[in-house]
Amino acid sequence: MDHQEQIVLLSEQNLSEEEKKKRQGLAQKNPYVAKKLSKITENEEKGIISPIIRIEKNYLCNFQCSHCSAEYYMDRHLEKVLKTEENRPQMTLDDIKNISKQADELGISRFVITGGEPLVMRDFDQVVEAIDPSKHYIISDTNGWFLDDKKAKHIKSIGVEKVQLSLDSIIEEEHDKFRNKPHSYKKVMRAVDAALNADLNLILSTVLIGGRAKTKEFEDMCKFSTDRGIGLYISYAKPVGSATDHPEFVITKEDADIVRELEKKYKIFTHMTPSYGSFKGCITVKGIITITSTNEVTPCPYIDFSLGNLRKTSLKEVLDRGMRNPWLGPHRPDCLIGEDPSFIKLHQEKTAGKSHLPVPWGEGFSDENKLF
Amino acid sequence: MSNNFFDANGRCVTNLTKHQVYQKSRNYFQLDKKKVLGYNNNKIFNNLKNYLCKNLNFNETEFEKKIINIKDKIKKDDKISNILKGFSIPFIIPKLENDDIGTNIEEIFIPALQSSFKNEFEQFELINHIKNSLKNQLDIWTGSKYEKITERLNKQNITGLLFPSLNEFSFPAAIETVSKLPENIMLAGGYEIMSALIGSPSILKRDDGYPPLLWFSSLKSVNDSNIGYHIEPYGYNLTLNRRAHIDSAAEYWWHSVVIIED
Repeated sequence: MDHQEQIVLLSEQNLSEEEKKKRQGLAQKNPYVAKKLSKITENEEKGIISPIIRIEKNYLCNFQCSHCSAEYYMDRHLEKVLKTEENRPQMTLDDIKNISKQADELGISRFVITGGEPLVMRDFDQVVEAIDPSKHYIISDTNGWFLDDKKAKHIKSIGVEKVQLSLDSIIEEEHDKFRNKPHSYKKVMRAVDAALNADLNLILSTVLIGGRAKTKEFEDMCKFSTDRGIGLYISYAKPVGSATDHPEFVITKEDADIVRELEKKYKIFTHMTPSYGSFKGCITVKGIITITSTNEVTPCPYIDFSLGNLRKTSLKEVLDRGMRNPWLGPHRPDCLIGEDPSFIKLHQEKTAGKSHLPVPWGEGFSDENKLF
Repeated sequence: MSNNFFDANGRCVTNLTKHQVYQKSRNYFQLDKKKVLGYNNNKIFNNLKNYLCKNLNFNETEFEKKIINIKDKIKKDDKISNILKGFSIPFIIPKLENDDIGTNIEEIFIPALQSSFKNEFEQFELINHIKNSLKNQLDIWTGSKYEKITERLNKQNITGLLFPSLNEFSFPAAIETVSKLPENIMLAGGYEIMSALIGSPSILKRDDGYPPLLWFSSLKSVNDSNIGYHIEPYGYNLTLNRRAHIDSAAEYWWHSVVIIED
């Protein structure tokens, strides 16, 4: 298939005009990646999964947020709170190159660099290079603190296509308080402009805690995002990491249903919103995996049970383990770690007292798992 | 030890198949009992007459009698009587002129369910996410016994009960199990699921937890044997869709059987 045919194929898909333009631009610039992206829906129809791979090379961060799911993985937590240290082998650039190669062979096309705060990583550029922008669509999470015009143009130039920027309230004081960082709201707003000026694709992400869906502030935020033409990713708060002691953060079915109704009106989505013809429900394994700094694969950013270590087990086998696990399985409509009380309890019991997360394969998730 | 094919909750036994099935259910995904019981036969009949079966040759009293007769026969059969301990949802399928299941679902059943659901929930809707036409795209799984229903529908309408009693079975497990159940128990298809929902539009609405996805269990795609069709709620709305991995079992995936009038 030549360039032009590829562009036509992409245009034929059931995409919004805006999305078609973005994909056509990518097809001209990087036809290999565009072709892989265009096959995701077709592959899903055949039962072939194509999860986004989140890479957590390290957990350095300039923030200390109230709801951070990665806090328990951070050196500051291990050293200051648990009085221990990270002694497991750490992810190297060669590990990332190996993951990139395996992912490409499986037709997987999307990587997210996350952390911690990716933009404080000294080897951020090398990580992008190791993932390989010629083979994969690269996204970076960020809290926006360092994303000025210069930085935005730089990361675009080295192959990052999209940024996901955290904004936890449209009210400046509330965002700064939730993020425990004065002036962070202003930095997010600066980062929005910088990303758009650098022609980066941009989505905002916000954490939905119990009851927030019904507030005026939440709908105002949905409106703000929609008015700016920016997608807003709604991330359900999960009772893990810094939020372990905040059971009130867990949303109710009503909260989820309200958000699903607001999706009709605003440019917002959750991890379970159908998109581009893909109706996965809970995206664990089917739509996302996380690889921690110790090469452990977890089925979502908030579940601290490993499906295997990529230095010992192939990516394909790890994904197969996830698909045959009864908790994760082929399909469920709810958020396993954000809504299912039995799993939340099991997760809390198995992670309690563990200094080094995630819980290894065989101790949390295993092929022997039962739902009782 | 009971010889009944169904357990104390109306769920079909799991030992008739070697394919994937959850041996026990933790009942996490559930229909709302109050909502299912909230529809009496009179209300169901009127919904079906208004939106799906406009030319019925019997009235609501006769409909009620048909349903009672079906239940009475089940009660007397100690091999299947436990099925009544689970959910049972009455339905009527009108006599169909066209043999093609996809055409009938697309032209008759989807518009009827959209109207019935809209009548019950003005703000919400049935959304059809299947991109291509269903015409000439659906076939019947061998072993489902569904031919008995389609053959009879050429001649007359059918009244029956839908039992979502194969919860947490895979497609192969549901088909194999039904092939070993008594002859009068057939695997449900799109007609029965949609008719049951036209009569009782809110049964997949649940406020305090998640209801299940209902498969069109006896139907397969003519082109992709790994694809099944289903209805599931999304928020306050209903959605019609298709998906893969049907050889797997999932807690959320429910198959159903039907028993129809003689």
